[in-house]
Amino acid sequence: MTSLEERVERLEQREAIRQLLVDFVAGCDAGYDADRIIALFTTDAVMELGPLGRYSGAEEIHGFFAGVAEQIPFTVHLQTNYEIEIAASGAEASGRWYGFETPTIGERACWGAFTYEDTYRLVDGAWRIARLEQRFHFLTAFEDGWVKTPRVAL
Amino acid sequence: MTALEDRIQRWEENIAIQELKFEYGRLIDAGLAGREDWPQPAFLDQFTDDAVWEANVHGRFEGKDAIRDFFTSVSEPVTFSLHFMMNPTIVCEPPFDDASGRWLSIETLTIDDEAVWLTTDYNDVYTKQSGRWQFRHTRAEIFFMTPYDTGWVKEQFMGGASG
Repeated sequence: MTSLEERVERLEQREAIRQLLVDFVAGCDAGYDADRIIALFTTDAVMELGPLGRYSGAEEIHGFFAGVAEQIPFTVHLQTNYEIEIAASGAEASGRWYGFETPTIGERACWGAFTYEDTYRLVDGAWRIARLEQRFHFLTAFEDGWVKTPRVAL
Repeated sequence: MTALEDRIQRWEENIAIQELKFEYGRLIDAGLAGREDWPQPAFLDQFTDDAVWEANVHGRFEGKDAIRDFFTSVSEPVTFSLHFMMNPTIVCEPPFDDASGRWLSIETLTIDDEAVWLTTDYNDVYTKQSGRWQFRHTRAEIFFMTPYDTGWVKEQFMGGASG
């Protein structure tokens, strides 16, 4: 039988992971602040972005966000549908979430939709993203929609 | 059962029910887009045998078989969906074997090769069997289902389309 304290601990950890995800997109919305974002990843993290590439390790991930900052001067990440499962060890977890974005790409207003399947790891008492896997759904011009233009060039 | 344990369990059940709803959306979205065989056994298992699923624009479907047939038919016109589930209000009290939920969603769809915006007000009833939450009743009040470039003022419900 799990003790009440352990059950509360599990709820708190789940909320800590949800907060990690909120902090991640907040870093993206703050002009893709690469220093702030990379602090949320494990040093050996992997980021799979489908058609936008694969980035392995802190250096590559940092480089990706630093580059995106120049292409996307404005964006808002709306985040929903959190499914978070903490492993029996309590030190690893997996998560799924949905993201809806309103980026400015170049000078065009766009809509973006992505879903995520991640793993997280507890590092020195703080949850970090160990693997971020993004599924691309659309990145369309405001005027066009996802059928006419599923993907604008980045 | 102590008062403290009730407080903890209320919180646990709230999260479990939210994740049932998120998984419902995820399974539909993976199925309609063809990433998984539709409808998945895991999707159908989300409903009690006597569940009801109804929506103002789609009709009322009683029982798991009728729900399966309806959702199977939806995959013909609807080839893409994302269900963004928001604003949950979950009410679940001791002995924690049933619950109600109210949600809003915004959905991006492709219906008959046309991009569509849809928003819904959901009222759900859930029941717990063998430690697992299931849908017993979903009532979806769709506010609008409109072509991407038309909008809900000109066309609140697109004509003839299902989904």
